Amino acid sequence: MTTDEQLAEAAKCGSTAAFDELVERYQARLLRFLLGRCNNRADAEDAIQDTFVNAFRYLQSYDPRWRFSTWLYRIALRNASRQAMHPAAESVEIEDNADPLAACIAQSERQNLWVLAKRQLAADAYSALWLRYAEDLPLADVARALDRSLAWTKVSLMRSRRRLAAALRQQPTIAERNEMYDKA
Amino acid sequence: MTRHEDSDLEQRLRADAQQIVADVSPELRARIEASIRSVAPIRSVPISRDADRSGGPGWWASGLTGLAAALLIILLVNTNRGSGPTPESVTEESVAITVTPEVDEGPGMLPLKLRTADLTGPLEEELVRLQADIEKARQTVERDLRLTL
Repeated sequence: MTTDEQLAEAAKCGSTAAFDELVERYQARLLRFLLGRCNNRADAEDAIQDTFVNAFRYLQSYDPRWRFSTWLYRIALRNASRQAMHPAAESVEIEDNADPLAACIAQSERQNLWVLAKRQLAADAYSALWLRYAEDLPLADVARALDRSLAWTKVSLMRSRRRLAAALRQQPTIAERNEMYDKA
Repeated sequence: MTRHEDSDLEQRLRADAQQIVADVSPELRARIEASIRSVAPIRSVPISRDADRSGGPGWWASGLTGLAAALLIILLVNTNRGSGPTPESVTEESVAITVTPEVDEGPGMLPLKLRTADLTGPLEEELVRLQADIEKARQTVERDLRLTL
């Protein structure tokens, strides 16, 4: 199977088919990441479009010593940061009462840790966590994609894990939540 | 936080990432393809500073030119001293004029080039961002027009 780096080299030489293959390989992965980083799906779709366009335009600047995914995520992060400048929808604070909306959000956070991560972590910390665990990038590549030091990346990952673990411990279980409903 | 808890959390993060629904619609795919087709790759990439510092053929050429210029100037000055009217005729001003090209044409040119790149780089990046903004605005207007009509 042709590697991403080989496809990128072919695309550099003018093969649009090779770049199309790269788009095919990364579109869902990038969208999944950008959905977590952007305020809404429309912003994420704009960001993914800009990412591929910028990657295509500046393909000559890609250094094959680094993974293609690192380079692509670096572009995506810049676009996500630009989209993040747009005003976001008001976030809903979850209070410890039996509000149905809060319960619904808490339920979705229990179902998917990334929902909780988005609410609990800063943008760069969320990105570092995603690149490390969802994309399985080595630490050096995560640091390079984020344009941060290796030390910052390690500390950020450790703090994020602790914060998520603490937040998970604080969340009531489904049984406890149901009990709260019954009481209310 | 124990090692076991840490490992569980990492596994859950990996598994939950795969649960996020991120289907790329045919419309989005078409949008991406159309926007890629509408741009051309930029062929000329600015030379990185690291490459300049590491000393490529350009650095050697510049160094050798500077050295040759310096030798020529020394030779000319010595010749003028030997055959010229008197040593007193060489004023401080003429020495200053003679020496200046030696500094300008020597390896000192390299930092000047780098400084120019430093100054123009951000402007070029900003231009690209502005072009992207215009393109996005154009697409938004087109989309809105399609919705209105």
